[in-house]
Amino acid sequence: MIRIEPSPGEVRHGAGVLAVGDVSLGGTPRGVVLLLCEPGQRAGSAARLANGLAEHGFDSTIADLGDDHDESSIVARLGALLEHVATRGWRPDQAGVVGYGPAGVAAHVAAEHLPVGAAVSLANEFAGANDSYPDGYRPRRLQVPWLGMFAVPAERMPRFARYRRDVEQASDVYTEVVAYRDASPSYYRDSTAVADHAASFDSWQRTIEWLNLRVVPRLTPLAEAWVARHPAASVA
Amino acid sequence: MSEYVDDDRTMPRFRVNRQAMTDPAVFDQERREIFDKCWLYVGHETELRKPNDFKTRTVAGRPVIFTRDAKGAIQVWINSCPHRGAMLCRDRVGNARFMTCFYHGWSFSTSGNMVSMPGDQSYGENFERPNLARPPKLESYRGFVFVSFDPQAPTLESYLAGAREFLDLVCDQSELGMEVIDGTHEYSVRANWKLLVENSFDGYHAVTTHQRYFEMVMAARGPLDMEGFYQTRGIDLGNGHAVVTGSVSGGKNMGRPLSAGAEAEREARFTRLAAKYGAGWVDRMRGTRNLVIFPNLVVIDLVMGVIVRKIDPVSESYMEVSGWELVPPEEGPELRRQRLDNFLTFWGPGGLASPDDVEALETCQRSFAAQKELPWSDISRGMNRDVAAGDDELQMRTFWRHWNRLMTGEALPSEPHLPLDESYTSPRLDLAGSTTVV
Repeated sequence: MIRIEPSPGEVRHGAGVLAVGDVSLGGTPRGVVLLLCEPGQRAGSAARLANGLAEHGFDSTIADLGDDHDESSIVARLGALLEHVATRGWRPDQAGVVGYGPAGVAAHVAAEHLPVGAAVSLANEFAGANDSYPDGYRPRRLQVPWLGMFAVPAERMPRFARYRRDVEQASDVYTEVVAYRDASPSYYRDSTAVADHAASFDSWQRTIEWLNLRVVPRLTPLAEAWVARHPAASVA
Repeated sequence: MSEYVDDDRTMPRFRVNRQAMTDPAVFDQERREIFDKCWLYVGHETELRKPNDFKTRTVAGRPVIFTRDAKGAIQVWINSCPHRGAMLCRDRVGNARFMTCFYHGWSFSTSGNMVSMPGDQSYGENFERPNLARPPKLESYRGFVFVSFDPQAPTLESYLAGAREFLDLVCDQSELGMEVIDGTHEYSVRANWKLLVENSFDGYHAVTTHQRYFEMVMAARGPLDMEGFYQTRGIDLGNGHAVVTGSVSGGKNMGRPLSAGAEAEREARFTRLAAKYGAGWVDRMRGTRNLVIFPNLVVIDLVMGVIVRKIDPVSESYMEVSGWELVPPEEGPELRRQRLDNFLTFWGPGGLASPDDVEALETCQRSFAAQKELPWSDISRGMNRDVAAGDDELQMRTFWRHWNRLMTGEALPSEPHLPLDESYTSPRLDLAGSTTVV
């Protein structure tokens, strides 16, 4: 259900322009999420997801990064999005990056390159040739906790177990990768299929918990005043 | 004379009144005089590998959060919301930079600072925002993290006294630093906690209580090396800490033999360590040790595995026990597999040793109901000798004398024994600089 229609806007990056949708809440929101949607879903499923994030106190900015998977281009566009939410007072560590489907790679890239609070990839199928990693998901030395969720065919579960180990060992920060065994590649959309329905529910719960446990909260005015008087009481 | 300890040097005889194991008032006093004052083990630094990793556990009856904060510093917080007391973190293990109380939603970071309280405008701008409470003292020694609830506690190093050397003998077994592996043995015992302290370095009970285990060892290795049993010593390490330590041959009485490949890997590591620390130190390292750090930390290194055991008293007749396995991270998978097999065979809750010990201690506690007819337990073995062997009971008397001093104020002198030879005293050398570092 869409109760809050995202406000349309544009974000300039380098030579291009990115269409975005903003959901800005009143009061003191918990944090902000850069919601990287599936191609073509900025005003569709992504708007519903942004409303779901709002129920948990998160502002959001929806962006469709399209088919450009060049890493430097992804970093540039995410940087521009962080500057965009900074105009609403959000620091990078108060932002989570959540990528759906093909945009899951961008969330993974964000965890390597940008000082955001947390990153989540709701990736599609755990694919790729034997002994290789899925495109865009090679184990990286991350600087931000990353949650990666994949639909994994049963026969690839052993390879996924090795991937989990490699991801864990590659980073000094905490990571989790989750397998939805035999779920469809778009498991994050709800469905009457049992495995997909369960995966949709579980992946959303994990996403919200991941953000709540790691994105640095915005302080209320009274809390900011308190920290100003007691510098040792910083959030860190 | 204390009502709890009868230390008769003329007979000689040493007895402990069983009231110390059954009286709820004694237990309450232990909380105040021992657990509120001594340094207490919380966990090992390697259990928290990444920033914001946490484990929740109990120390001195208090729920605590053992965590590595966002900057990598080890922290221990009282696991209770300063608002109304609900347990802030209800997971046993996890990773979180921020923890939110499920009762009213106050949240805190792993560095202990308050982050938010819902509807804070109802408290006013001068309301003092509380951070998480913490034990007044937190220190670690070679990865072993301790807290004390006594602001006046001495430094951890001075508290550990002679026990440091025996921790070093364990910690030096890795060139990369020993680490606790995943997994915890947890079990409870319907007995007083001090009975398991005694049992943890009681050499006298081994062959009788663990007969089945030694039958298995003999089936795998052939006859036991009795010389190994004789070459053990009980040592008073000060501050109530004590150890039973044995030679290399004693270790050969424990566990199934390693495969040739695993044995070669292990020997190669010890050869490298000998070049670094000296052969005398490494010979000691290759032996055995059952170490009790007063009051409730046990480190047992019986060659086939190093167990770190934390004993948590719950009442005068009930305890909870946690055990972890400490390993050199550089060892190969086959040696690791054989180590864990030996570890589980002996120490596992379904192993050939721990259930026997639990049964023995629980029968002790039940029999203490006959305290009127049998008020005293005897711990005299070896008092009449110049040398304290491992199957004597000096180590237990050391524990009890310190316990007695803290509980009653009565200071009993330590026992005179002949000096230990170099098999038990060779220091760790820094061969590069040729200077003694221990």
